[in-house]
Amino acid sequence: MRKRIGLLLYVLGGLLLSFAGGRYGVGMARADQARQAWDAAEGRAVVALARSAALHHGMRETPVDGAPVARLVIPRLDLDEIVLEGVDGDELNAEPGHLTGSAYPGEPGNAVISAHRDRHFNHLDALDLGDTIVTESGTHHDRWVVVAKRVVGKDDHALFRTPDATLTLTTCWPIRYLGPAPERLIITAKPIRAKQTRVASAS
Amino acid sequence: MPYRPLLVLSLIVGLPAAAAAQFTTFIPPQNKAADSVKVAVAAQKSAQADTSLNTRLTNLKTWVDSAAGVVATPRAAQDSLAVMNPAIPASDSVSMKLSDTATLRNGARAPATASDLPLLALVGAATLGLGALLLGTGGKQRMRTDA
Repeated sequence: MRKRIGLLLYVLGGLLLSFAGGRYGVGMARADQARQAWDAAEGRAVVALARSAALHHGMRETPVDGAPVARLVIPRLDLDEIVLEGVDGDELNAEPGHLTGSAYPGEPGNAVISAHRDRHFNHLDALDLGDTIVTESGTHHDRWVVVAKRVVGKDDHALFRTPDATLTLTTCWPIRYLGPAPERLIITAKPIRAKQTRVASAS
Repeated sequence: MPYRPLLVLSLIVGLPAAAAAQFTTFIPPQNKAADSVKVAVAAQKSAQADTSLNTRLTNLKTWVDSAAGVVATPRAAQDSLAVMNPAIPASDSVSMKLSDTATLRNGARAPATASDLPLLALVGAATLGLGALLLGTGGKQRMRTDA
């Protein structure tokens, strides 16, 4: 009887570990695909088309969920990741996600990028006021400076539209915590210098 | 009277007359270069006339539209992009969707970014370890019973 229970627990534990490892593996594979797509300039074209379509047609067209839409570089955290459209489980399992409906980095408005606290933003709490962030999105290449860092409740209304370009990074808080987190860490940054270039010259 | 000088004289007078008769029936070939120039000039004049006509019509239509309060339709974004940068792929190769939320909702909550994977991995490792422990102790107990 004891051996049967032990065998059952052994198999169950193995399955759980395999599932978690498989999800991490799938996320890494999708991250590689996103990086390749971005390097092929497809992601930049997606964002350029979306921005231009929004400007010309007066309605919002966005890339489909999972499409690479930006590149996020945080030198202090040694972070260099491709941002995918959407903040659902599949996107966040692979890369940081861009909140659909928010602005794209560099364009007027609040651009919101979120990521798992145990993955890409696992050291986001180390980011301090004055640190710099670099983003590439479509035709924009921007440098940002962190101007605010706050912790809010998970149900607090913390994201707002802004008239000027703003970059907001969010993750769950506390960083070292198992299970659904009760709070959110929110980092706000403002552009240092906005340099608009064409896709062709950027690539 | 020597007839040889008379013959030479008649030839001198008669041969040019015969040659002149031939030249009267000569049809000179058309000057192709001159024709192509004429055609080009004519085409250019025609094109200029058409363009100016179109311009007048466009201006007239714009004036009528503006008088009627109709706003001219802007050029399609994809067309302008294609003009700007031919390296950008065509729209059908890019996956786009219409978003329900036009802009970020004011006062939106921060997305839930909690992942269950660390918890699952921890529980899995603990379960695996416990199972291995039970299997190991079960084997030792059997060995003692056999002894």
